[in-house]
Amino acid sequence: MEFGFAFSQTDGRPLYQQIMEQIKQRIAVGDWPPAAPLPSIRELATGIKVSIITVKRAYLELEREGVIVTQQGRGSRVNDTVDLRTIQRKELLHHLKQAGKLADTLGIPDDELLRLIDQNRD
Amino acid sequence: MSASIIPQLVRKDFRLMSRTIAMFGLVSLVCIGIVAALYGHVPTWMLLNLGFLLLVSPVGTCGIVILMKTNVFEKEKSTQPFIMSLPVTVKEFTRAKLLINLPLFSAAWLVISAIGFYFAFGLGLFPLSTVPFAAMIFLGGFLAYTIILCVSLMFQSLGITVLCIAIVEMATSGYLSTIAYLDPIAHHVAGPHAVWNSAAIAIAAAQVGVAFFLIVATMIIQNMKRDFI
Amino acid sequence: MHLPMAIECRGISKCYPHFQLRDVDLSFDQGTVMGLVGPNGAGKSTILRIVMGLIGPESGSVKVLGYSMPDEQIAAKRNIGFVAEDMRLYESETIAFHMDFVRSIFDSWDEDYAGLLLRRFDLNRNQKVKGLSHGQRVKATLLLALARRPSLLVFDEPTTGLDPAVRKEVLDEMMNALEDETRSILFSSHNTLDVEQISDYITFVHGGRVLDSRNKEEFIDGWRRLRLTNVNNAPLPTLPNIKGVQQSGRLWTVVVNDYDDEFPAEFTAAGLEVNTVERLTLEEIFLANVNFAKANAQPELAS
Repeated sequence: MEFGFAFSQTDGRPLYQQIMEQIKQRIAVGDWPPAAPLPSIRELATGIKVSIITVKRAYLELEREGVIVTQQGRGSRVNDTVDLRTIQRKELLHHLKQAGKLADTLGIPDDELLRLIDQNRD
Repeated sequence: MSASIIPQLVRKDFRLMSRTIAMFGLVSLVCIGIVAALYGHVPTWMLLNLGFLLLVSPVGTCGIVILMKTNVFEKEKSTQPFIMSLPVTVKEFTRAKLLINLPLFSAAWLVISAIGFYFAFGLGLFPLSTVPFAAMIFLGGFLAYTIILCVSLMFQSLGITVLCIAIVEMATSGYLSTIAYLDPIAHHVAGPHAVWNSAAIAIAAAQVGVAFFLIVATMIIQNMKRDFI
Repeated sequence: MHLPMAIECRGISKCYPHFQLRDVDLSFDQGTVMGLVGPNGAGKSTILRIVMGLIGPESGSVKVLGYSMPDEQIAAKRNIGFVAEDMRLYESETIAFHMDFVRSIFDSWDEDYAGLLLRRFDLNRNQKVKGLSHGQRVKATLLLALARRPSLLVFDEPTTGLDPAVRKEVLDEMMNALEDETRSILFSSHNTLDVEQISDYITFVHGGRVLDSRNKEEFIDGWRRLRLTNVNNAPLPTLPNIKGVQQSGRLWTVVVNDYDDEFPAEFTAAGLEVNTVERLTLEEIFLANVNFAKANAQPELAS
């Protein structure tokens, strides 16, 4: 089964994160609408030729984020209360958190961080 | 539980060897034809030497070539891991190799022995007193083949097998000279009857016995091997 | 219903004049993929051959699909498909000859799937093996193993020497086999990208020993590279999980495993500035392991 996922091993981001992002994109644009069933972990893994354990991890993380819902023995489906904005907002918060951490290690103070964010919005 | 795959292995080797066997079979027939054609047209001693050469060479060579291809080349050409990854043990593998080599060669060797005996004794070229001697020769040839077969199977090495062939050939010549002059037999070669005295029987039995022992020893040794590649 | 493990090796040892395999443990469940990684000569091929019963270990026990080797090797090999880099087919014969031969031995031969693989791999069944390119030969050998639909696939360097297109075909087909949840794969590769992509578990082999064997995600997740600035030339904190250090003036690069989020703090506390924290690819982990082992002249690497 073809899923049309594209991932790069030289991307730098772990595979499971790339898979999560591609699933979220499909949900965001409506190709995988709310309450729609997700392919089984095995189906997706053999379809995109990535290890089952990686796909499993992606599904687990997506469930943790509330994007999908998994029922024992029934598989996973898109969370029917999820919507585009919520997902994207969560993405933004995730990125901001990371930026914050990085700023801390680089020793960048809050006001400079805000200035940098502003500078980099187009 | 599940049937052994020895038949499939033998069939596979037979298919691989079919071209070789056909070719040598053809050469054999031609040689037999030549011997038959020469009969009566050349002196006896020439017929003896030429006949022996023409009858033994194709079968002997074919036997050696086949054992080389089935035993030595399996290892040297790296097809052995493929075969050993199939549901087979070394014991069965060895048996399959013996089954493709021995029966074919034995049958061919029996046939040319029979033809040789027919020309030599059936047509009255040689006195019957030389029958034991002739029997020694043909049994000796069979033993020589068996030695080479077992060595090729146990070592699967081109070098060792070729060395073995060289040694066996030299030993066979020596052996033939020895029994020609071995008293109990030589004494009767000149006589009018075939005399199967105890010495002759003992030697014949020893040859068959050694051949049998070698085959059994090969199977046992192969069975004890733990590394196949 | 309790399924036996795909492979269960305990305490395997084997001595050769110039190489020793020592105390190797290797186990994984059915339905998963185990990747063996390690440098050339580490012992990966030897381990695979011991699993296949082609080599007898001097000590230890080997169980494949619940069958103990070598006593039950016939039953085991009925369910295993083996492909190795140094395995050859009969050159003077056609692919069809080999297919007929294998079909005559295995009831599980799937002729339809074999035909599909011939098309997918772009192979001509009437072509003689000696006329095949390296990639085609590997694919033909793979076809003979896959078309039997064995429960366990054991592949020694399946993608070595293959061009990128053929490599993808091989990996794709290996993953396709897993559509059946009872299938397992054990493969070795020094192409870390392959192992990273399709393995569920990774076993790292070096110098005849197993350095680490665990879940791939955990394995890779545990390693980080920290880029530090050491303005005052302070000594590095002595932490057991530092596996590699490189220095260029005031810029230091430290590779660690068993990473957790408290780590950078240890360095800042020692007076070093943490510039970035990066994840490593399996290849980089591989190199770090090998360098660490060399530097310490003993292949003991706790993870």
